[in-house]
Amino acid sequence: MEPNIASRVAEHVPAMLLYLDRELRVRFANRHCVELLGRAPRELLGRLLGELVDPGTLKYAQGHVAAIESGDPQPRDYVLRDRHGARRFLQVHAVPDRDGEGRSIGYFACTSDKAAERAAQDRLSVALAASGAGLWEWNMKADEAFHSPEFKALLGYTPENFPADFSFFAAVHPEDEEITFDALSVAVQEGGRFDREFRMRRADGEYRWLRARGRATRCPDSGAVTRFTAAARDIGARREAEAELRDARALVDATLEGSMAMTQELEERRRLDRIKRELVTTANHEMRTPLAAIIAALELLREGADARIEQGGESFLGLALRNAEHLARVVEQWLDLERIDLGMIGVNCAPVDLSALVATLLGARATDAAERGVQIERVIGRNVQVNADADRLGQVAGHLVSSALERSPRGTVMRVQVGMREGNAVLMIEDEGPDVFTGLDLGLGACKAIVERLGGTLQVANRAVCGAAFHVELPCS
Amino acid sequence: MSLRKTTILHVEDDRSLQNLVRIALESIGGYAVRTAADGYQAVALARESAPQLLLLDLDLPGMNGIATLRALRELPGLAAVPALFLTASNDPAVEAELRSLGVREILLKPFRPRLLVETVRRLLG
Repeated sequence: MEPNIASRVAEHVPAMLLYLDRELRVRFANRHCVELLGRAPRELLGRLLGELVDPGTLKYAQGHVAAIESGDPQPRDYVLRDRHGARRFLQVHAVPDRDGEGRSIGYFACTSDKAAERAAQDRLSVALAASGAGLWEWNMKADEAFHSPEFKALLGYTPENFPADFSFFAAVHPEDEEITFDALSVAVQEGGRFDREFRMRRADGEYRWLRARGRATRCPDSGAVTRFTAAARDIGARREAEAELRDARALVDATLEGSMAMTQELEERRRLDRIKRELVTTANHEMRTPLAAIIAALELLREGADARIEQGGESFLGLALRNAEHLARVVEQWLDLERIDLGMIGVNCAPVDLSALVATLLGARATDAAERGVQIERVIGRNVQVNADADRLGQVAGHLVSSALERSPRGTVMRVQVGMREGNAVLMIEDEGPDVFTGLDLGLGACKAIVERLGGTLQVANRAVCGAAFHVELPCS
Repeated sequence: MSLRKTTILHVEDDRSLQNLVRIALESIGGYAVRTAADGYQAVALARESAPQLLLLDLDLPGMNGIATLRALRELPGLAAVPALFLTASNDPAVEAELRSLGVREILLKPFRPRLLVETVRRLLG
């Protein structure tokens, strides 16, 4: 090639060509240096690189040279200031000039303008700033990190006071360190994405919640992951809002739960109050009636009225005694109810054989039934097990059988059934006595309270033809 | 006193009180007593016996005392017959309702048989 052509090419090629010797002194600079650096070649020739750039850039360039010497041909990005102080973004591709023995005697540098690319980066920077995101880049090859001003601002630093030895992991909250590091390792090793929320320590020592999303970039030649870039955003406000929302939800839940419990308690109390009012009325009636009979019988006896009462041939004294005994039972039932209501009667639930319990009970009442001329018809299913208090259940069944017997006219049939219905144990006692009236009597009230305490139900209804049916349902064991 | 005794219709479900009230009114007062165990029986008895006084219990099975009185008042000749209540209730609301139905006397259980007879006498004037 003709020397003048070579020199023309060197002068006119649309790139800034430089040749530096081993001391990094400029030995050649083409015309494009004027365009890119705003300096004429003659201003550059013979000058040491250290005289032309700031110490940081010089250090960076020395690192670049070391990389070239170790065989890394990767171009590097430079930011240089022209003589007007404007920043120029350049990409420098450099190769060593070696002598016959392979020693480096200088460097050929081809520098291209990265203004367009840089403008894009500036736009990115604007976008990042607008989104509040800070950019963090880790160049693994050089083990260097880049932190955008926005990133520094996120952590409460200015570009000036950002620590030179800033360590990403040292700033991550100890509790978040492990998951952050693990996620980053995976992204870096596998060249994948990273998306994590973690806390980082700010300049003032406070921690901030950040969300960082990033990805690892592979070197197109070697395929090795060489860079990791992430955009981090402050999500403290969102985290706080979430925490507030969680607290508010918890409060609402607790309030709802509390008010539901209160409503239930109120309803339960109203129900008990209603039952109690009914029972007071009933007790009033049930106590005053035998008392009226006792007083009337005794007064008539004193008055010397005919001592024998026609029907049944009962004496006034006998009638008074019978009513006094009835009154005593009513008082006992009333006290029982009070004790149940006050929770003084505890229930000890255990598996109870309802079939056996009822069979034993009916056996004990056989003589009484025979004397009254009442036939007892039993349909008792085998082995019906309930979970209940045996004593209390015996009290209930005993009372129901007694009242059915008392209600049964001579010559009628009383029916007792024990069985299962829809997974519950059922005790049904039917008589052919008079209709029951709607209110509860005290004994039945006590039975109902006990059965409900045992988790079951007690219902009383008039039968279609005549008589009443007492229906108890209890959970099976 | 006429040959025919004054008839009182007593409505009460308690056996003991049925007997005792009958004895008191018959042996002390000299009245004739017809006893019904509930409101339906009372209406049936009133039709055939044309009582001169109605004596009722308030708490009756099925049809209560007030309903029974209303039913009895509908019968011919019973619209203005004096009525007396025997009751276990001292509820003022119940008393007011009874008064509005023309019930002139209310005796609270327990009661003295002699007082019952005296009250009946006063009502029959």
